[in-house]
Amino acid sequence: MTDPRSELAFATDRIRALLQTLERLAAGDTGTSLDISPAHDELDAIAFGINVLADELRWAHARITESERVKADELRERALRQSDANFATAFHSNPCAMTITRLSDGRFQDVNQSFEHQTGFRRDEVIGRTVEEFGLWIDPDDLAALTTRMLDGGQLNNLEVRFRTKSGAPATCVYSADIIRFGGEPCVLAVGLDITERKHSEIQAAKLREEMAHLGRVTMLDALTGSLAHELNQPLTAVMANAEAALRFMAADPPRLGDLRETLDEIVSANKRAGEVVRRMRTLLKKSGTLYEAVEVNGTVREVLKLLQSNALGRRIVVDVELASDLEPILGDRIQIQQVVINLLLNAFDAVQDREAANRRVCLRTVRRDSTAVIEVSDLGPGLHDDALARIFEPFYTTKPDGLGLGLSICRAIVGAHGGLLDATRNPGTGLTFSASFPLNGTMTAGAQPASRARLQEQQ
Amino acid sequence: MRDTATARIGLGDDGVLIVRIRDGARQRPADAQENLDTALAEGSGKRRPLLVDITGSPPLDADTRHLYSGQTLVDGFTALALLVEASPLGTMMGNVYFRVARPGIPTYLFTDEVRAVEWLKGYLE
Repeated sequence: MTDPRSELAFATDRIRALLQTLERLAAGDTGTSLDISPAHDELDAIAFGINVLADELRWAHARITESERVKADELRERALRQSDANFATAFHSNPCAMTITRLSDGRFQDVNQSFEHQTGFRRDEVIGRTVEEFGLWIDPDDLAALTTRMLDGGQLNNLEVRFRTKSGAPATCVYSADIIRFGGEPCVLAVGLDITERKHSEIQAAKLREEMAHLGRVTMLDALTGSLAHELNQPLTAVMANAEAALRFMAADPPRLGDLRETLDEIVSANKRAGEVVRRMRTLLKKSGTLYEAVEVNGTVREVLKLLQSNALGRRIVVDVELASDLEPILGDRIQIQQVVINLLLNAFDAVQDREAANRRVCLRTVRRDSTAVIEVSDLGPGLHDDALARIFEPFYTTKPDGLGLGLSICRAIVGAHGGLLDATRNPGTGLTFSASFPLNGTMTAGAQPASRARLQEQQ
Repeated sequence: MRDTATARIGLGDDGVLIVRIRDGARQRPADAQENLDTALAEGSGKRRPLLVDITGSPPLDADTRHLYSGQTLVDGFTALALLVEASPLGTMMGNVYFRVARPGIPTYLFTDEVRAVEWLKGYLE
């Protein structure tokens, strides 16, 4: 016989368990499950109902989650397909040559039409082959350097490289590359912008600039003739005087051999000085290609001062010189920089030569300003009106009755080719200051290249 | 008469297919599929009324319940009679099946097999 009280307690426990399970279910815990008693009574039926409810919720949740995952996968797949399609469009219709090569063995996986057009190689000729197999790159060092960088997981930006087309013609392109995954493998995606025509134009422009610079130096010859004569006159006079003395020493009885030797030494020395004057002038007027090297600014300025010393003296002009002590060498063409300084100094001399004695002064200064080396030439001349100052660097514009109007425009072109700037400002009191600033980090504009590179291109 | 892992299946002379779930046999979706396939084979591919005896079956999980009420049931059978234990739990199990699964053919809950077969005979084609 069952005790009604214990039966009631059992039922109460089961009801409590039902309620607790319902609470957990309501809180989102669908992992809950109630035991079914052997009685299979009403409470078991309710328990079963709750179990089914939890089960159905779990089932529905799983279906929804699965459905969302499938939908997300579909969206991702669609996005990927769209991305692939976009990439394919961008790749094949790109005006730049584009290639995809496998990183592990350097074999071409794909090239676009611009590549075919630029190199002359057909797509089916290159796919599956390496760049070495058909000798595309002119300089193997370029290829080795970029291969090393890409294998290191690097990235290349705007590297100028030379390649050879199928017909053998050399060409130049700006090359950038990055690593992508293509066909499940790491590959190098490279973009090459053909700058052969631009390069050719730059070289022509550089040649033209050199011709103009030389022309400018030749036109300066007239102004330097007086200096040259004066510079040569001194050693030649010394040679003449010493030669006469030597003749006298030889004619003496007995010949004064000690004095004779001393005099001959002085003749040799004077001759060397004359030779140095001629050498400086010839160097300046020599027609040669641009040669970029490390140029010591103060030394270059001193050379110019030696050339123009007698010119200034002849015009009774005082040249004040202030040279900075902290200037590093700049990358440039020494002769062309000298040409700029000579031109600025001669202009300054012209500006002050008719002034009263107190204003017949020119200041030549070198100074470091931020990351530039600046050569400044200031004069105490009458200066220029705004209109004239605005046009002073225009070709064939001149304020001088006998000027060609090319000197300053050539100077500005020279400084510009060095990555610098030539500018003119009015002084607070009177006169003008011309400032030629050159980058200390050796930045140069297109067409101006270091000596080694320029020579290499000439050979090719 | 054919036996599966969880049921005994046979075609009666009256044309009613009977799937009798073994006592205590816990069915998984694969078992449910096997039972339905076997019933179809037993019926020689003809649509017939079906009696499923779950008097000895423990409660089904959701996947199995849904499989029993899926397209196979609709395509292969004309009506379904569910034979349940004559207890509150048995009735609840049957009702839950019908309410939750909502099979696409006529269905009815029975605690008496004879009455169930009688009802099913009305769905012979």
